[in-house]
Amino acid sequence: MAIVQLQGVVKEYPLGKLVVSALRGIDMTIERGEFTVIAGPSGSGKTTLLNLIGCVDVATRGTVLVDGQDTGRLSDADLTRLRLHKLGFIFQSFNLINVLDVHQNVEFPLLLSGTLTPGERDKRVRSLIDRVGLTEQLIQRPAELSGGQRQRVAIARALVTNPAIVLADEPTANLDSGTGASIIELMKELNRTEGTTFIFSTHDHAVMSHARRIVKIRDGAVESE
Amino acid sequence: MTLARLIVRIAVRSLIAHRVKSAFVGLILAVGTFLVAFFGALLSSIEVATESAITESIAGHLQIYDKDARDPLELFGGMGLGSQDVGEIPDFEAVREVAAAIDGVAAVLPMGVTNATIFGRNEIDTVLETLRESVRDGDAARLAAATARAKRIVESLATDSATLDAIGEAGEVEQMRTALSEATAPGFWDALDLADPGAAMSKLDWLDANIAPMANDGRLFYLRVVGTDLDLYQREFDRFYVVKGQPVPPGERGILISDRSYEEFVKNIVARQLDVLRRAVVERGESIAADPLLQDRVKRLTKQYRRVSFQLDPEGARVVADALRAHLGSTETDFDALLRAFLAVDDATIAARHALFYEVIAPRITLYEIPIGQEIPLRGFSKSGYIRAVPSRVWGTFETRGLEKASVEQGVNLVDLDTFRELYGKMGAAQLAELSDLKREVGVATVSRDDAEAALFGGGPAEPVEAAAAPTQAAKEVPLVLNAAVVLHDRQRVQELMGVLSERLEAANLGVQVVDWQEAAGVLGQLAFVVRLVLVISLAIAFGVSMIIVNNAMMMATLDRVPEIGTIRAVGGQRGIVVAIVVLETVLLALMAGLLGAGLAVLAIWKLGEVGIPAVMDALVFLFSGDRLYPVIDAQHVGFSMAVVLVVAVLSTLYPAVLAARVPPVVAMRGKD
Repeated sequence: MAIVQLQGVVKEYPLGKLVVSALRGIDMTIERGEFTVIAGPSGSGKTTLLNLIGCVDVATRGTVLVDGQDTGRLSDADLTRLRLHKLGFIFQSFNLINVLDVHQNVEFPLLLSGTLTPGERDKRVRSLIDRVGLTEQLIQRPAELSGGQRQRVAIARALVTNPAIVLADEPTANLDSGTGASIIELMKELNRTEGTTFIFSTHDHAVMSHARRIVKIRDGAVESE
Repeated sequence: MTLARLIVRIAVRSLIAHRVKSAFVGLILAVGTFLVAFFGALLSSIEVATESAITESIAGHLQIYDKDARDPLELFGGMGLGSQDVGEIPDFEAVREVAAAIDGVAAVLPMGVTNATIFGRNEIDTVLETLRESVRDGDAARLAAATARAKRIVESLATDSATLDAIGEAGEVEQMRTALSEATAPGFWDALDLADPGAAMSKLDWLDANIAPMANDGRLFYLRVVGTDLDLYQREFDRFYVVKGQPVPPGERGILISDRSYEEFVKNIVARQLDVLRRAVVERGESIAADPLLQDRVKRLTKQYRRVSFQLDPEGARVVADALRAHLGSTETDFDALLRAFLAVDDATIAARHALFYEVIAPRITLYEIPIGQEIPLRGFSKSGYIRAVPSRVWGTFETRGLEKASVEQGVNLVDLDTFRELYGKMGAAQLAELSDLKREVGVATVSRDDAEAALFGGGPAEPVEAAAAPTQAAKEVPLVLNAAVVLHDRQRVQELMGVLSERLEAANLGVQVVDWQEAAGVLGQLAFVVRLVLVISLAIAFGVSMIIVNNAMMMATLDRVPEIGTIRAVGGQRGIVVAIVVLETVLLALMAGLLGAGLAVLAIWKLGEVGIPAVMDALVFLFSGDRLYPVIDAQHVGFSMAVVLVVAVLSTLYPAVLAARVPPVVAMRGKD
């Protein structure tokens, strides 16, 4: 069953009087529970594609369906809600809130959604932090953690709302190869145990080797699968 | 943890994380709060003090005057020259009745303001009058003393030919020289004895005509005169007190002169100059040696020696000369030279010579040109333009407690209502009766045009149409009240009771209007308003600048946090959350800075309230209602300053907050760029 469907997706950016096409008609379907890599060289359009799927940007033309919802027809508030409830993000630069500790960073999306009781919330946060192996660092702030630990916090935060899709934009780019591999292992394991759909972009062949499906992008179009 | 608490936590931690920005913005907000609370409290204190100075001196809390008055009522004088025309209150008793019936009104005082002048007399006039009185009374001792004084004056004038050149034209000067040689000729003064009063009086007339014009003219004093019910005034205005002389006894007529006017304008000029110099050097620590203005004053003082020497009789002059010689260690025999040397004071000698002047000289001269207890002609310009001279007894001088040094207060002098009426050019009961009697005596009658021929030439009805008013009718008192002061029990109720009073007076159709003390005080009343306006504008500018600075700082901080804001948006935070975080941050900062600023203001005002702020200028004495202002600060000032700083903080953060809310979540993905 498709969780993401893209039909004829075009994304253009105005650049002065010019218009730059980042995506030139992408058709793609991603099934629930997939562990997909979007690969391609820098400037190929993979981040743009991830942004459209992640509802942080909208297509110039074409349709992007996320969990059955046409993102082009949603308001900013609806898109925000969709991100909160259906999507989890893992950023290349971790993007943690520096003034909050590990527990609070992970808890943040749950507080925004307001769906759980404080007890349930705490249990879920602690269990995820445990899953990513940071129980000892519960009350440490991002500045006190290593890069790998920060990315683990980001993973826990991305999964805490139990999203349908987790999007990871070059999640290992700022990590050494060993740490990167362990992060990928962790994501694979969560994909296997939680059934969460993982879509991540990378141009690292070592990372690609872990993917069950690789979509190669070049010059804004799907080159191969 | 709830979302609200998390937002607060993010805000607080962001403040700490951006501590340099927080300290900078916090400092600006703290200074802003301090300024608002401090100057707000100071201004309120000044307003209360000024209000008290105005309402407790002559204005009362409310003033009633003619609704159709040509000029606005300005009790302390306005910007224009000359008298104002504030009309009249047609029926003061009815007005008083309406006002007094209102709960909260303590007293209603009739009043009127006009200008008057008094002529001071020159020394020759004074001595000639003494000589005349001595001849009339047959007082040989007094005559001898006064003759000696007159001789001294004439001799002094004769030796100072420069003065003559300054006074008149060539022909006149020659005439004066002749008169002076005659007056200094041996035997001239022998005729002034009691053996032949007629000859003595002729000699005095000759002196009056030929010598008196050579002396300086008596000075003209301008007085701003407030006519009122003096008994009621002395009772209702608590700050009033008599300095010299006595209050005007109930039912008596007379004038009470402002003590400061009396000291500054009526006092002998030598005494005044010595007072000024002593105050400057001893009280204010200024130096004659260093101040050209004070040096000039000393120079002028040494030329005023005649204002002392002309007033001394031979015995007085001898005592003074001995004292001066002893003090100066001098052997000088010429009295005028001795006096000039004495008056050439410097920083080292002023204090001792001032003391010696009051100890030895002052008791032997007429220290004030208008002595207390004397009846003087008070001259006023009546409304119809002619000058009225109203004899008025100077009962004493008065002051308004706390405003002794306030220069604006010196302009107000008090007279009874009858004197005021006459000065204003309206006949009093006695004059009306006199006029009526005169009319009757000379047979003045009002005759209608039709009967004029018959009345003048006989035939037909010879009786006048209307007989002259009977004296009893004419003697009926005509009250002249231009304005009325209303004193209230509670100063907080001024506006409320002004409304009630206006309505009732309107309903009674008495043709009057009501203004509050601020309006009635004219320019002076607006002073507090102007001070407030200047301060408010200054604070507004300061806050405008603060807003720009805070806004800039917040903009920079917001730009710094774009990735963080993008992340919050990307993980599902709505725009409102972002706005809340940014605004809350400033609100928290404003609260902390506000408490600090307001706390410092409370401390500063509390300290100033203990030591007082000195009124360094005379104008400030009135604004401060005394020599020092003891400001107070209350919760209202603190609350207001906090509110202002919060509003300013929120307003200056709104734009950065809106910008932050517009940060697209996609920026969170740009970490690699």
